[in-house]
Amino acid sequence: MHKVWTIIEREYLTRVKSKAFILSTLLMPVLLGALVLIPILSATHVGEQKLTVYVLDQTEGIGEELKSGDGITFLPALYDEQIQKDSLKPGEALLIIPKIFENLSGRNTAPLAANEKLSLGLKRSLTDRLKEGTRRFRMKRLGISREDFELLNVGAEIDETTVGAEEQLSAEVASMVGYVMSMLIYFMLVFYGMFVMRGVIEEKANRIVEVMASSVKPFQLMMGKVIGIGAAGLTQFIAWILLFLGISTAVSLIFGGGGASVSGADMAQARDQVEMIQQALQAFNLKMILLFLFYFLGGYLLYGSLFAAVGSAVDQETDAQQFTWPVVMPLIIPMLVLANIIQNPNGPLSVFMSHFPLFSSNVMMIRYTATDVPAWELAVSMLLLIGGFLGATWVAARVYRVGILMYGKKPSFAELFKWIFRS
Amino acid sequence: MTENFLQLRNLTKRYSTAKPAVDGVSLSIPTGSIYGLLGPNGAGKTSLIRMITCITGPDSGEILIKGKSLTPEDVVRIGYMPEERGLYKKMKVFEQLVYLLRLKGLARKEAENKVKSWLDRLNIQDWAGKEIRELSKGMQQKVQFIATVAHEPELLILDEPFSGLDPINTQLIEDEIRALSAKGTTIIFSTHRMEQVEELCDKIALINQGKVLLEDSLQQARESFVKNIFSFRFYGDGEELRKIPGGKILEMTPTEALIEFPEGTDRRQLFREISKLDLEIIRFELHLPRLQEIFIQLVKGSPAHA
Repeated sequence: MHKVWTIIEREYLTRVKSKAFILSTLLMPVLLGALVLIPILSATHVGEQKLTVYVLDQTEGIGEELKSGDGITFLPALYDEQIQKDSLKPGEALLIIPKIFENLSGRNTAPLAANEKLSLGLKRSLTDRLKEGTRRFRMKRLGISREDFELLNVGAEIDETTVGAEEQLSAEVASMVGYVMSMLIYFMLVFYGMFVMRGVIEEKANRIVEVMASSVKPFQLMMGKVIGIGAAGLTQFIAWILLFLGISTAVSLIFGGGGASVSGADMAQARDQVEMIQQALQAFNLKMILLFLFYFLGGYLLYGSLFAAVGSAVDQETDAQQFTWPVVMPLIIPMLVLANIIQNPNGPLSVFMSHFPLFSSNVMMIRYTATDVPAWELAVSMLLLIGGFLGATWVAARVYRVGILMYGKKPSFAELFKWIFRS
Repeated sequence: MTENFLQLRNLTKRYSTAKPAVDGVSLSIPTGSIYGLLGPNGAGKTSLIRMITCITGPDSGEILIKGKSLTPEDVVRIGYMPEERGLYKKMKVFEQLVYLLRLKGLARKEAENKVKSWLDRLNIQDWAGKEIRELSKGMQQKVQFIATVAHEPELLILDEPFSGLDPINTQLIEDEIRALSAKGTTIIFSTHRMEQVEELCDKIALINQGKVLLEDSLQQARESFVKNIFSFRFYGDGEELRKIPGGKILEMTPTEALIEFPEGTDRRQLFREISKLDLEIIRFELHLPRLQEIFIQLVKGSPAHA
């Protein structure tokens, strides 16, 4: 047993100490954080670009209702359309509000000529200001006071609760959480499975495997590698969760309270996004985390040993393709029907896939977040997964112990089957 | 009768092919001997070694180590250098050696001490921190050798130990092998280059197509394959030798000759005949066959030895 530990230790430390590991551990949350931050930043930092907009108002008064701000200054056009266009300098634009804007209904289009391309945020802010101006114009025409308008601005939300359920997640958040977890498991299984395969091929190619085999049993060698690399994966995982929690806490501290200083629909949207992520993070209770770890580990042990078997059967990575697809296919299939499972978490397909060991590590977490999975179903699925990985390990070990000592000819599938079933 | 360190009894190993790779092999390897496992490529030597090192198990038969059945725990008593050698390319020399020793079952501290003393002994302490891929091939072979012997195994198995070695490393390894043998380590050589081990081995086994053709001490093996061929060294006219009755000259040079006599020739009678010749004979001896000749004779199915 202590030999397996020695192997685990080496496999773990070589992975964890590698530059690639450290970089990907640090960069991943930064990338994820950027995905959240960029829309917020682009919404708040509109004011950085200054724009002077000359307004050629063909209506009777909309132009006067336009409010400057956020780096946008509205000025009445000085000349007629063509001359004004020709004299535009950088940071200047000409906005024409056609007569049709006076109509009290419909969606209208106002042409804008600018000296240079406007940023997305600036354009959105400009659009919002034009909408607001038109709204004020229409309110005046219709004789609606500001107070009356505020009364019309109805706010309503639905707070959904499932009777008898522990979780109180909105369907949207739930499916997002499930989706993210399923994707994470999928990527980790493929990523670390490939690591295992490459490790085995490397040992074969370096011809160290026979030296190793004279000290430890092939099964110990295989499990040591699978577990060591799995532990490295788990480390990365936990580091990601901690870093992501840290980043999102920082984000909510910066934007959650101080959001009042920024106005506009986009900011609200960005805040919604942050709120949703916070809600999703709160949804990670202990039970969910434990389930997630179980399905990740179960799936990893199952696929990791299969990838090890594939690696043992070939001499070089380029030969491995033929044997990787039967291993990767069952990983991809759940990804193809993911949307289906989220929409219909209790349908026959979802129920089947969340129990079948080759799929359950990817599918059960989605089902679990999307619906109430009865405890007995969870238990059956978990037992099946344990059985699945024991079976996969058995098969893999039998291929592995023959494969690692075979050089030269690439075996056929028929030969692999012979390796499995020969005593 | 010396004690046997290792005994193989009726070992058979069959892969997917119909013909067994090892077919009813029984061998006795005396404690402290240098034992040559000889045969052409594909004879079953490596399959045999893999069973001794517990890499694979036999389909039938048993292996006894000092009279007890071999178990996987015994691998710590064995040091094996496979024909296909290799090390982790990106691992440092010291780490790598300690790792391999720990896999043999040594505690970390013990492994570190052993590795240190071996690095000193072969005068390569400076490489301890280098990655394997930075080393030359000859250096890698030294590291590989340390990995094989540093846990002080009672049995050392070297599969084609000299293949790919430069003359300096060959000498070094030969010296180390003799030193280990002097300390009582039992050593098995496996090779198809019979002439390389002829001088080193105490006992040999000739193997072909999974079967043992011959197992004997080197001396006896050669003697038992003696035909009535004598080598002569002389001064004078070699033609005189033709006068010996029944003699058939195989080779003749101005000072030496190789002559075969019919089976059953009385050697004392022969000696008397020789003394009658008008020739100054300075050496006259029974010609001992080389292992290579014995092997070829056996494979060709020539008369079995007595």
